[in-house]
Formats: sequence, C-alpha cells, structure tokens
Amino acid sequence: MRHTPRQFHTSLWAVAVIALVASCVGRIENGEEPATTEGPSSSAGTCGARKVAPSALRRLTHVEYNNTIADLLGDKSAPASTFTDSVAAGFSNDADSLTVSTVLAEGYLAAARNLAATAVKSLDRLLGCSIAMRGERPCVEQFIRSFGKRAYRRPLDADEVEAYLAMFDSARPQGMVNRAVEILVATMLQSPNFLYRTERGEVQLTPFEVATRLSYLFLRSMPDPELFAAAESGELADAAQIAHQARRLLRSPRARETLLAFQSEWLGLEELSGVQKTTRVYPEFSLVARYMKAETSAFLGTVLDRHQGRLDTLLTGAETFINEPLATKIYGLPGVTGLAMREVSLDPGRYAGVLTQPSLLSIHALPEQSDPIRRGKFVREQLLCQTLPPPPADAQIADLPPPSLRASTRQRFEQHRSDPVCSGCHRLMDPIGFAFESFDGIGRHRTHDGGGPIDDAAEMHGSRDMDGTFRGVPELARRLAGSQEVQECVVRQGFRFAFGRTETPDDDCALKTAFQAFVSGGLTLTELMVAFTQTDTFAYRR
Amino acid sequence: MFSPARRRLLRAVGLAAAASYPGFRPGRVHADSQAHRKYFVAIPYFYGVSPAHFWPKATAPDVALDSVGELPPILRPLENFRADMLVLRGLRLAASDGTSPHIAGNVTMLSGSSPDASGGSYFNGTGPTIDQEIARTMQAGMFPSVEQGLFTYGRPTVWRGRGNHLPAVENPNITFDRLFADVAPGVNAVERAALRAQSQSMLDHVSKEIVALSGALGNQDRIRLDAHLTSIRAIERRLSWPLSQGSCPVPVKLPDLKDWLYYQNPGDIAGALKLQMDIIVAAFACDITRVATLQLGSASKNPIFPFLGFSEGLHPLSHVVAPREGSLDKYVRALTWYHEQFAYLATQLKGTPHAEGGSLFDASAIFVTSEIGVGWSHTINDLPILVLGNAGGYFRTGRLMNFGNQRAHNDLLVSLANAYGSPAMTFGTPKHCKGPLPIARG
Repeated sequence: MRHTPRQFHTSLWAVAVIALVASCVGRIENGEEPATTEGPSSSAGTCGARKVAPSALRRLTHVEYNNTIADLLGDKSAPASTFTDSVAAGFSNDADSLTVSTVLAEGYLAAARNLAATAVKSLDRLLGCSIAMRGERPCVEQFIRSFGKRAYRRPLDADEVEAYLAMFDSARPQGMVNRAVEILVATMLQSPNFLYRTERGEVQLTPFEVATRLSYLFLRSMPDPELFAAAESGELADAAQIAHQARRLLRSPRARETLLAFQSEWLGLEELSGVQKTTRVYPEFSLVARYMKAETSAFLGTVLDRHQGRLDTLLTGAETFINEPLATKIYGLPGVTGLAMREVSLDPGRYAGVLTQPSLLSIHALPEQSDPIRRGKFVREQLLCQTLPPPPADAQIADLPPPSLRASTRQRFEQHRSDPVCSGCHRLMDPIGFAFESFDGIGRHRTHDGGGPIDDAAEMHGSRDMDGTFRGVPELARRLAGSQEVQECVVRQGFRFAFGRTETPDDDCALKTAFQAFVSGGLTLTELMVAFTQTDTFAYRR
Repeated sequence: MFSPARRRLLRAVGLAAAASYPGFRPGRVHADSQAHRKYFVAIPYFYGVSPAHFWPKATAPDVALDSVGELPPILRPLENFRADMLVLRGLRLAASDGTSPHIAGNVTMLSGSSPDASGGSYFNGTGPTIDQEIARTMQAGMFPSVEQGLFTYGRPTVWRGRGNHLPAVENPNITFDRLFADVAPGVNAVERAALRAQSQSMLDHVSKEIVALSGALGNQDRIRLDAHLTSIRAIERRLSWPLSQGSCPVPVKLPDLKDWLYYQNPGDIAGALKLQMDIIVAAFACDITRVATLQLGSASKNPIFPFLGFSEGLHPLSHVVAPREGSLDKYVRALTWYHEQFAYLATQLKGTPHAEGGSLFDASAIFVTSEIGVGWSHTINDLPILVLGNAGGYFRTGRLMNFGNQRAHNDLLVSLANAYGSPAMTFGTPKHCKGPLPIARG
C-alpha cells in the first residue's frame, strides 16, 4: 500500500500546520491565538506496533554521484559538477525532486562514456584479474560480478550477470576487449540500480540495503569496504551493530561535509550566492560576500568539530572566524590582517551563533536595508517548522518607504503592520524580527538607525514554550536553544534530510524516538543522525 | 478573409479552394499538423509589469491594436507586430490557488496546474506544461522540445507531469552542442553513426532495467522512473533520427563560456540570450525541434541588467510603488529590454523561410506571460500576456482583448493546445477552465 498525497494531510503534524495557517488569517475576525504545531512528544502516536511509511526511491544527488564515482573507479573528475539539472522543493536530496530530465540523462550518458573510456585504460587493474592467466570470458564474468556488486551496491542476480555477459559477447567481435568492457562499465553507470538507491527487501531491508542507507546518510557515497564486509557477514542485523557503524562513519571527513551540508541547507545559507545589495548603500558587500560564506562554513565546522553540532552552541556561540576584509568592513575589529580566516571571540551581549552571522543576516534582508519580516519568517519557518501563508493574493505588497534619516526601519515596518489585513500574520513574524534590528542589511552591528537609537525590543507570539517579550538576538537565541518546540523542529529538519522526504503520520514513532535520543544525547546533530539509524523507518520499508 | 499567411498555408495543404474551411478545429488539425510544420515558443518571465507602461488604452473589451494609438513604452518594441499579435488582458493565474504567486509561478505559469506546496519553501509541479503538451501532440522534430533560459537558479518552469521537471539550459553553447552535433558542418558521419549505435545498445539495456525495476515499485517511485524512461526515449528518438548531410545553417557559438557564472560575475548576458534565440530559430529552420521555452528569471531570484547601466535586480525594482530614485524608470527599462528581445525573436522568425512556404513566424506562436500582473503587488489578475504570431493562421491576431479577470489563464492554455492540434477542452486544474478563449479565427 502506498500513500496518496491526500492521506499525507491526515498527519497530525500536517493538520497542525494547516491549523496555524488558517488561524493566522482567521484571527482577524475571531481573535483566537494560533494553534501551535504538535511535536512528537505530545503527539498521540505511540511506539507500539511497527509502523513504516513508504520509503522513497532516491536518485543519487550530484554530490553523491561524484563521491560514488570516486570510490567506485578512483576517478575524482567529479563529472556531475557539469550536469544541467533543476530542483523543485525541499532539501537537495529530496527524492521527489530528484528526477532525470532529458538533459540529465544526456549528462549521465556522456559522463558514463568518458568515465568508462578512462577506466579501461588500465584494463587489468579494472578487471581485477589477468585475461592472459585466467582466460578472457571467465575474467570478464568475474569482473561483472565484482564490479557489478559495487556499482549496484548488492550482488547481481544471475540474469543480470547473464545480460551483461551477452552484452559483452555481442560487443566483443566488433573490436578490442577493452572496448567491450568499456561498454559494460558505461552501461552499468547508467543503470537505474546505480543511479538510484534501489531497495528490494520485503519489509526488512537486506544487509546490503542497510549498508547503503548508512553510507549515503553519513558519507554521501557508496558503502566502504568495511560496510560491504559487515553486510556480507551479517553484522548489520541489529540496532547496536548499525549504531556501531554509524559512529565509525561519523569520524570520516565526508561525514563532516555531510553534516555541514545539512546545516547549510536547513538554514538556507546556500542562498547567499544569489544575494545582491544596492551598491550605493552597501558598496563593500560584493567584496566581502565570499568571506561571509567562508566565515559561516568555519563557524559551523567548528560547532561540529568541538561540540558535535550542539544546538545551543549553534544558536548562541560567540566565536567566529574572520579575516581582514570582514574585520574592517563588517565587524569593525582592529588587529586582524590578511585574507586567512582566524578565530575571534565576539561580545556575547551582541552576537549569538549562526543567528548573527553576516551571511544569514545578509540573506534575510533587503538590498538596501534590514528586514524584520524576513528575519522573523526565517525563525518561524526554519527554527519552529511553522508554515506561514502567503500574503492575500491581491494585497498591495510594497516594500517599505525607503530608508530615511527621520524614521527607523522599525518605525517604518510598524506602520506597515498596522494594516489589519496584514497584521494577523505579521505579528507572528515582525515582532521576532525586531530583535535583529541591531544588525543592518549586511549584518553589521549598529546602535542607531533613522536618526535614533536602536530599539530591539521584541516579542514571540504563537509558540508552545517561548511566548513573551525579550530584547535582542542573544536573548532570542537563548530562548530558541531552550525550546522543546525548536528541538522538535530540528528533529524534523534532520528527518527530511536523512530520509529524503517529508515526514508522514507513519513516521511519528521514528520522530519521537529520534527526539528522545537527541535530547538524551546532549542535543547534538551527530547524535541526532545516529538516532535516525535506530528507528524502524531506517531498517524497514514498504 | 484570410491573411496572406493563412492563404499560403492553405495552399500548402491543398485546401485553398475550401474558403469555408472552419479553421483548425480539434479532430481535423492533428492530421494537418503532419502536413505542415508549426512552431511554438513559451517565454515565462518573473515580476510582472508596471500596468501604466504596458497596457494600451482601450475603450472596449475587444479592439484592433491598430486603433489604440501610441503603444506604451514596454510594448513599443513590438510596434511592427501590431497586426501579428494578441495582447490579452484580464486573465488570472488562478492555478496558484492562494499560494505565494512568485513561488507558484515556477509551477503554474505554463501548466495551469495547482502547485504541490507540501515540500516547504519551493513547490512541486503537478501537471504538464503547455509546451510539453504541444510537443506531445505534434510528436515532431529530432528533439521533442528545447528548454533554455537565464537567471533560473535551477528552478524549473517546464514540467512533463507531476514532479517531473525539465531544467532550462542556461549556457547557449551547451544547447548548441546538444542540438547541432549531428548537423554542424564538418561532422564525421561514420564516427557519429558508430557512436550512436553504441549509445543505443546501452540505452536499450538501461530501459529494460528501468521497466523491470518499475514493476516492483509503488506509485510515487514509478512516476520518477517513468520520467527517467521518457528521457531515455527522447535520446533514443534522436539517435535513430536520420543523420543530416550537414547542410543546416547554424549560428556562431560565443567565445568559451565554460566558466560562465553570471551570478557572481556577470558575463555577456545580452549576447547569451541573443544566441539562445538564434539557436531556436536555427533549430526550427532545420526541423531539429518545433517547441522551445525561454525562462527569464525564477521565483524570488534576481535577473540583473548591468548592460543597461544599473546594478539593481528586477525583483527589488519591481516592488516600487511610487517612483523613488529612478527605480520605476529602471523597472520599465528592464521590461522594455525584455520586449525588445521578444521582438528580435519574432523578427528573426519572420526573416527565416519556412521549408513549406512563407516564414517560420507565419507558422509560429510565441506565448509570453509573467506570474503576476503588477510588479509591486502579488496580484494574479491582469497577467501581461502576449501571443506573437498566429500559429499557422489559427489565431485572430491584431487585437487587444480584455477578459475582465473573469477567465483564468488556463483557458488561453486550452486555446494554445487547440492551435497545435490537441482537442483538449481543459488544461491544468479543471475547476479553473471554462473552455478556449474566443481568439481563434472563426
């Protein structure tokens, strides 16, 4: 049985999101507070009988493709970086979005041909046996089995071996043996069993499928030799063995890259490359944008390296990494010279983790000024996992009056919020966003705006455990870091990344289990990812 | 009365005597479309228009474009096409169904199908786009369709069906190589044939594996594999296409664009768009494809126009209500530049002979729309829609019509589908459809 999209809406969580949306609009009439999202711990779903949502057939992402090619062939040419592709919704590894367009199929074809042509240049090494010693056909058959197993990430079926042998036989008379092997390799690299993570296990995944899920979750690549060996010898049979492998994989530099990618996509930091600022207002932006990206990568990497990706460090940490352009143009800090990034401690009374990174603040701002709406919306959607409806279809959506010497951004935004058509939803965003008013449109700290001192008094509405007034980003960050609602949201974001799909009601138990492990593991992203491997959703499919 | 183009066309299919021939009606057209080639271009762009600078003044809901006086500045580049275009006001992008119109635009502009908004900040498409429907109906050309564009940021506007999106290729040199590899002068036909045969055997094996795998999977997964299979079939179609004798005139590639990243370092944007359009014209002339899209921008992303002398992106410029610091001027200037490009494409098509008589333009329609009506509101009313060309005599051009926002743009998509031989009576989300618009010749 597969779920139709209609059934997804019966999800407790999905229902809660819709309730929020409806009430955010409807409150104008009835004055009700918005419903809040139900988290896993408060959901009615309990972990009794095993429930597994339909797993998704996942095409390799381009990162996964490049990594897999490097591991399979030792070819680090990263051909996928030249593929033309488009993306729809969700994380970049969302299965629904990973389709194969004609242009991409052409890319796969051309890459497979090139990779195979390179690979057969050292034929004996590729084949793993000597045609002279063993005979051509036995050697090739052995190759089909051994290379096929690594390409398909499972042993080939007998008829699959036969089909490839037949292909070899028909290609062989026309030319050299290496040309015939080249065709085999190029075909395997376009096989759906290579390009997708196909799973055939009934209910319980096969050991090879568990190995594959583990390796792509942490390494974004095919299983390494140790995972293959564990699959062969039946050492991926229970949760403890899976956890053991998960922790081993976490030590790989590739796992660090994976967790960085998760943070970066969850927080929308990839958007920085498309951000443009008005040169007249922010002439320095085009120079420092690339360093902002490097700064945030270094910050997130350090949170992983030193704190296993702890949520509170991510949100409140006062260390960052800057070079001379960032020091002089953004932070106003003396004594940092050169282009190399170096660690500095910032004033924790002003700065708070990723929330005050200039990259994030530049993304969530307008070309010529800050933007409390976008900053509030970011907190609401990415950190609270709440979905806000778009403005009414025919509303006149003007950007605010231009920056002025007489009125602060806050004052101008408050005027805009006084319109009753808008205020229903905007009170969920703007009063959070005002906490960020100490930072301008490119993330520089400021004490004055529009001719007066900064007012960063802020307020949270419609949360489960954070409502109330506060002041500035550091206090917001502390509230967020201590909020169960935020912690549950992180679990959901992690789930979507780990499983390549949006959660469904059948995943409530997995989310609940993962949440408990996340909390008891010190709220670290590394433990969260391990926790996902311990769920039924990871080990079973339907 | 028939236009000269219409008469030429009727002559071409041996129907000139049939003066009362009722036009390309569903059912009749499909057979005809085999006999004469038609072409279609869709141009979706983002961030609407400034109404005062776009809409001609009209005193009635259906007037001749010749009667509206001077064209407003954005439309002025199309002055020479007054008789050859439809300016259609009062159509709604109803399919966005209350979701964010910018984001929905990527999904709905060409499809009329409501977006699947369950995936977060961006939406998934739920139905085919009009270009794909036309390509499917015509089943013609070496490439069923060709997708290009600029500033798309990898967000598609072309969908073959639910979740099945086709990227716009931005680097025109890549499209050049895709389309003209087999027809460009100097191609070694023997080598090409050997390469084709090899690819065919690989793809044959891959197809069989996909089919076998698909049988064991559930619906959602099968949809993805079907999309993959469609792509493989499109390549196979091309590989079995007769190798041309290298007689097709092709445009000239731009100097190496391999590292061409306009996001950080704007390259020759205007030159790239011009080459994309030249490629479309050449591909039509050589019958390499008959359907093309040009996607300009993407939801919440920012086309820039440094060659016009300003650095601001179209999105912030579009949001200005009152003129400030020349923003409105720049917004109008950028949109005028867009329309200059549309005029260039139409002019090139007009100047290129159709193999069966007349010009390519006589057999074409260029459908232009944006996702919103007004840059600074999110209104889905009054989409700035143009149809350039009469699609081989199908449309009654030369008119400015206003549907008073009583019709969804789905109905225009129905008319376009009909113009190319599809008998469709709805397109996209059925509840928004009332039937084709009264824009065909009677």
